[in-house]
Amino acid sequence: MNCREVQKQLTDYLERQVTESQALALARHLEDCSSCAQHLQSLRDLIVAIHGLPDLVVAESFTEAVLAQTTRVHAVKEWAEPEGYMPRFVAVCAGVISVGFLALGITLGKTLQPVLLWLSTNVRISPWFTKLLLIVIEAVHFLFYFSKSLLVVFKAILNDVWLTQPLLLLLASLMVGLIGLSFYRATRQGYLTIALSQGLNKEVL
Amino acid sequence: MDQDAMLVASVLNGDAKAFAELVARHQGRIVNVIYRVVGNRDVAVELAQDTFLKVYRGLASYNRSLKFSTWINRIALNCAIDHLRRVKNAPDSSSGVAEITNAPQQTNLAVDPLQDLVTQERNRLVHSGLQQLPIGYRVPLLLRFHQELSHAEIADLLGISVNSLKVRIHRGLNRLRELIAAMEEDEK
Repeated sequence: MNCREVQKQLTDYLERQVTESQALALARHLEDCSSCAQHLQSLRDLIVAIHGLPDLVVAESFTEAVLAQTTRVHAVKEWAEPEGYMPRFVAVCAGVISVGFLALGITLGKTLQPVLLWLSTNVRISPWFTKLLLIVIEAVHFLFYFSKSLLVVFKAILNDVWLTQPLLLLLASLMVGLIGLSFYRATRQGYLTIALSQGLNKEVL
Repeated sequence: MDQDAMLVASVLNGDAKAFAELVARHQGRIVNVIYRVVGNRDVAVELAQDTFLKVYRGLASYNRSLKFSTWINRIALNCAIDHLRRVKNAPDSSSGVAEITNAPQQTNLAVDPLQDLVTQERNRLVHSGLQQLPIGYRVPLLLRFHQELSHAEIADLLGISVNSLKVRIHRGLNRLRELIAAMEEDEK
């Protein structure tokens, strides 16, 4: 191993980035070569010197200055257009899809409900068929509420970058509540409709 | 979940005190990393404030799979490097990059005065040499030997391979050695 090769590996040697056999070969060369040993020592001193560069002491007012700036940013943000909690494009697309669902839900709901009611009172059909139709209606009903809740979420996302997790949690609970209510109504309404179509008295129910 | 991750979650839940704690935890390291890169105390403090402001603004979109300290280090380094580019391109480039300041020293009566002077002189030369090094060598040397980050962390932070980093450290260290030797020679 010549001096040039050794000097190429000195940093790795100091950084413990050489294999054991390389380290042994380097150590052997360094024992005999004062020039390379001196080079190694100067690099070692330099590393120690960089490590020992004194740190600046940060003034106590630093945190306050940063916080004052963040407060200003937050105040400005309320007036300015938000940066967005998620990419603006995704939020807009999701909003458009929600509106689509909403329109579909309203249209289907408005069309199907009277048809079902007419069917259940004027035509003698299987109770199971009525039940199936009710499930379809409730699915539409569910989509309606789901879309409505989504709309609320996306509106919040679009308007407020600082949408907090508790708010999301609240919206999610509201959505679950609405779904539960919707299913309760489906069961109740289905039961009533089937019973009525079978000629049972409403009062008895 | 580590302390930083918990604080980030608290800030996102609207806890302003948590952000103050995040700043307090990282301010020393961030100010010093920037100071060693730009070489000017006032500029370093200003850029560190910008860094924390960027962190605050970007916290909602912060990728939690990345260590918070790595993320903030990256922002700080970008701030420092952007500043150096701006100063370099500015009509009057005499301020900022070339400014060499003595690192603050406190008089320590327990230390031998001569030894203290030697150390101060050494620090001045190293600081000055680092400022003359190209940024591509300066930053790896500082992160490795002053901030004591691992090779993997630095490579990740700078977006380069570990092998490339090792080459930069080797060349940077040797260039710095030559610069300091030249400065010592000039001052004789």
